[in-house]
Amino acid sequence: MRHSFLLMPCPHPDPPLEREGTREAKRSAHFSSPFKGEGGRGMGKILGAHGQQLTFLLAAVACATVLEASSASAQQTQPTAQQATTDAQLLRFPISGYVIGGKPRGAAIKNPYENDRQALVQGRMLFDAMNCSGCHAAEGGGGMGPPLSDNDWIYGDSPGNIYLTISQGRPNGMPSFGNLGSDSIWKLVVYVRSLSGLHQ
Amino acid sequence: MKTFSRLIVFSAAACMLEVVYGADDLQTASQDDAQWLMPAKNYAGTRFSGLKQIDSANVGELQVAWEFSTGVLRGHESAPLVVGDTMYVITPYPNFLYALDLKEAGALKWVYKPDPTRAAQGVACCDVVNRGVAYADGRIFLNTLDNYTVAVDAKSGREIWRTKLGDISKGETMTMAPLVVKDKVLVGNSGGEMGVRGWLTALDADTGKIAWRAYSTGPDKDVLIGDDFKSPYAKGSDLGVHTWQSDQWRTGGGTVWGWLSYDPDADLVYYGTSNPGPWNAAQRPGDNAWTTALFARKPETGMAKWAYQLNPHDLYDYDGVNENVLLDLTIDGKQRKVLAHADRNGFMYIIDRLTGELVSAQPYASVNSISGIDTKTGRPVPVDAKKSEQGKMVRDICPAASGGKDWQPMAYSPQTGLLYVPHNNLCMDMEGMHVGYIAGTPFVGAKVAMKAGPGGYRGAFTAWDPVTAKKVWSIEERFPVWSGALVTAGSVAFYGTLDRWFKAVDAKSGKELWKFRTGAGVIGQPIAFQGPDGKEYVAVLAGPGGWAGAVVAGNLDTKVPYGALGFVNAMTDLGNYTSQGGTLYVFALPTTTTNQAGREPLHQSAR
Repeated sequence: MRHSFLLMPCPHPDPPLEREGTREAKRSAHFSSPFKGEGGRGMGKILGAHGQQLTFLLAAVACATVLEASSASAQQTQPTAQQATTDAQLLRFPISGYVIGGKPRGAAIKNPYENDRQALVQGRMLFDAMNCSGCHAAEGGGGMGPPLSDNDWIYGDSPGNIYLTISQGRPNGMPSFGNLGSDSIWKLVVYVRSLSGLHQ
Repeated sequence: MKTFSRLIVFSAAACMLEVVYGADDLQTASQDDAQWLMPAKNYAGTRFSGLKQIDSANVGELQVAWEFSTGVLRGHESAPLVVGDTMYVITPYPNFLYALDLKEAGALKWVYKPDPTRAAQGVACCDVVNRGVAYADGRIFLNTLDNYTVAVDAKSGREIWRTKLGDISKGETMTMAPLVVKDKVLVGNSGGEMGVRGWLTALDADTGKIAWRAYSTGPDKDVLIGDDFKSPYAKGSDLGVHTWQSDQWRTGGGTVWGWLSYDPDADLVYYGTSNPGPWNAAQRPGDNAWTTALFARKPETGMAKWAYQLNPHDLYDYDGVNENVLLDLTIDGKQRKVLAHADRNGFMYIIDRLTGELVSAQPYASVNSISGIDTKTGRPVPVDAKKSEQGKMVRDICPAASGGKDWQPMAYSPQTGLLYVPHNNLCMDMEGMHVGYIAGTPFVGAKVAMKAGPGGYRGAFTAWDPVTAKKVWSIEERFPVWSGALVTAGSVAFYGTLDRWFKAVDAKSGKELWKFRTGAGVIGQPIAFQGPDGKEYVAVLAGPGGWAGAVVAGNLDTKVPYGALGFVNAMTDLGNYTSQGGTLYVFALPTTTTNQAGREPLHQSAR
């Protein structure tokens, strides 16, 4: 049943209603995380850099929420991301492979969905639903964003590195998807790593 | 004679402290072949130089005079400008603007760094290119990837004003070359792959204040359509709203990232708009006006005189942004004021530029997606078997999304009466997929894999007769010819290739006369000018990238066909021919050996 549920197409949003901002643009902020509040209800509000609100039906989040619910019903140990890795652990996780003073403190960060095929399928759906595939291309060949299907990882290939890259964004154009929530991000990590044959 | 009159101009200019040419004088000044004052050479966009020191007899002796490394390794699509004794070169992101002293073999005068937001790189669809700068009144005008138009003092490199025009968090970027008309700087946005709403904006050249903005979609008041507007093939008001479902026009594309041209007699500015968003046409029923359209507008007010939608309800990403070359031709015994437009859809349109009426349209590239252009309706006649669909991979659509020709601008010689067209020979497999709009992310919804077109080659350089609407000759190239074209009164046409050649061919016969092995693939726009020493020079930037070269510029994975919106599949071997680069080459004939003697050592390339 869970499988049939997963195969259901996600609802598709109508195009957004956009209120025009002022034409005289001000010097604006950099990419800020687009998702503010009201998450999980499928109706999100995006705050543009000008402060005007762009409202739209975020079907992808609704979809992800449904998926997470379905996943939670599974016979898993139901690890939440918070249990698996604390924020403090993540913050200590090095992006550089060159660490002053030897190994970093704390245990290696594990993906709570390691080896979870269901999470892989859900990660793949999120990859399309959040338009990751728009920048990194179907199957991760790259385009506007770097390829994910090769072995060249600008910000590291470990689950912790990739989690942080998705969650925080990166300065050369990777937006922050932090407001997706950690469960969804860990599922994306499973799928992203699988693109280059890194098994998780 | 020429040198003499030029000396007078510049002695006078030197006395006047600063101003060389006012915006009002650009039409006259651009006729001076010693200089190259705008990327397309002149308002008509002919890219024709009257210089003939380098000609079809001696071009074989052409040599490098000097080089300059730009310090940037992405796609170098821009045209250098030559104003007086200074050359101006803009790079891809981070959009460095260099001023090089032509009296000193390209010695660096100054560099202006606009410091664009790094994050802008993440919303640029097809490499982080810039197609050139504009000049007027002692100022250089440039666009930055993160949506600023900037005025820089041409003498000192000092920033005079900067105005923010768009927002990267909506997916907007700016890559096109501005055009100065009268007292206004005209600029447009990029982001047709990001659900951006396209516009052309006029800024006051003096202050940087926005004078008007004409959207490509939405109600007539936003599109600047009023009582003077007459569209030969579309009737009704607010078509920019009514030809869309609900409010889809708000994220419907129609960006203005290509070329502008200007007819001073008609006082009309011409340009085209991009593809509609998303590519997946099933999601946007209707004609989607005014995407993939040509506009003629009054520069003072922005009000539209006419518009012609080339590909209503576009199915293939056939943008309408390609250059419009303004020509006065005798067709069927009648003197016609026309524009020539080689559209992405593979057809060469000849259009009456005063009325927007179609004169002729014939295919210049391999086309199977449309069978012709209906002269009554102005519309393409679709081929049902090649219509793109959601959820179905349709095979072998020609031309591919990148078109019979993309941005790479053609040239026109009044001597031969021919257009010189750098273009593609590409087809594609395409499947539409549903995509949700998330601001600042791609709004494409298509899986595309491009491939070589019929014949197996991927690009061509074609001479086209706009009067008879026929191909005269064509040179097949391994890769898409992604560089601009230049033609001179010496009866030589120049273009560059992605496999590291800069070539000169006979403008009449197409016979190859000379080629030079550049350090990296060429996608820049060649120019010609006369140096302070009286010699003719030809200059071009090398450095592969853009959409066609993204596989090398962005280190994309050649194992996956869908990378770079499907272009990777056609370019998997590009890395065997070129690596990244960014070098300006300036060529001259060797006859006068004294030209550089006794000066500083020549710049060595950074290859």
